[in-house]
Amino acid sequence: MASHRAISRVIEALLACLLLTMTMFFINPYLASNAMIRSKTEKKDLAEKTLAYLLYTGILREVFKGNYFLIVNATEAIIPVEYGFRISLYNSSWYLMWSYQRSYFDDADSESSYIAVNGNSPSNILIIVLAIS
Amino acid sequence: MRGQALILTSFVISLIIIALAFTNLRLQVYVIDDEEETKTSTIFSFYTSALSYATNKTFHDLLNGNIDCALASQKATNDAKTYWNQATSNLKVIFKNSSFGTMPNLDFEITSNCLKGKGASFRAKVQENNTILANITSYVFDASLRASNTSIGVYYYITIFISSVYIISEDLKIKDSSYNITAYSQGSVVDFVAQRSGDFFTLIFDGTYKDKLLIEIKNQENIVLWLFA
Repeated sequence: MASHRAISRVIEALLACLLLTMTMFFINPYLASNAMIRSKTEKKDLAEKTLAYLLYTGILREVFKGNYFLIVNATEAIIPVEYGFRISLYNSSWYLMWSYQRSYFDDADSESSYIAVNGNSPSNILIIVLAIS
Repeated sequence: MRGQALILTSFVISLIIIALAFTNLRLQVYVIDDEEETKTSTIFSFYTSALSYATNKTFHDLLNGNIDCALASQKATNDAKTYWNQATSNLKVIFKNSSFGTMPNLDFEITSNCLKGKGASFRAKVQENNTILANITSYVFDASLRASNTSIGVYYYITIFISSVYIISEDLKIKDSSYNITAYSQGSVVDFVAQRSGDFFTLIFDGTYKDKLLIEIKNQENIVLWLFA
């Protein structure tokens, strides 16, 4: 009788362990996304701050003069080498006008931010998208 | 009975872990939708472009004698407002229902007191609900004719104060540090010598230009400030 009880306890304990293990297995992707959230926030924050810096220093407005090398040089200097990035320029119809990226930029693992700048006329709007991986 | 309690406890712990996982998921969605910082930067980009467009256009008219000083302030203010309204309407079309396409209503004020020499001033101000976003000012601190110590002749000394401040947020204020100054007399460019001390600039002209000068000051955002001296 005592042996039956002992076997029951062991089976119940195993079931409890199984339940917890299955739960951990089920939430695993979300635990992974928790780590990813920090990573994504970090990349997005870096993209936003880089775009803001380029704007406030007047470098971003160089797009209206076609001076893209200045933007590339500044972005290369600002964004640490362990990150990949792609900077793209679109017109107001979302037509891609120009793009530059680091060779190891990973599109699938990237976060982006964008900014709109205006030129000599109200309709001359350009959108600059910076994606960081 | 003890074993059933163990399973029940495990079930409750499992539910808590799942709930925590979904809390993190909601946080992820919130972060992706947040574009406030770049929206603030875009507002800065658009109102500085509006001021640049309006002041450049008006200064050109002023230089060519197409408009007098009294009307210039009003025209520049209206041009800046029109530019802002049109540009933000275009932005709404590009970003459709996104909050990024909804820009605030801003008040523009571009004024020149039209005085010549000492006391002449220019100001461009941008406000959102009485909160100042940009304050660009310049005035003639001193203007006087002085005899040269080394040669025969009289020189016109003008000391001007220039300040361009943009308030992006409580923590971030941007101040322009370099200016491009050009002086005109009767539509032609005039040579001068300049000295700088902080926000004060001393310009030295030939004495014959007294009360005949229109000074163009371009800041880093390509906004034109004008002064008569």
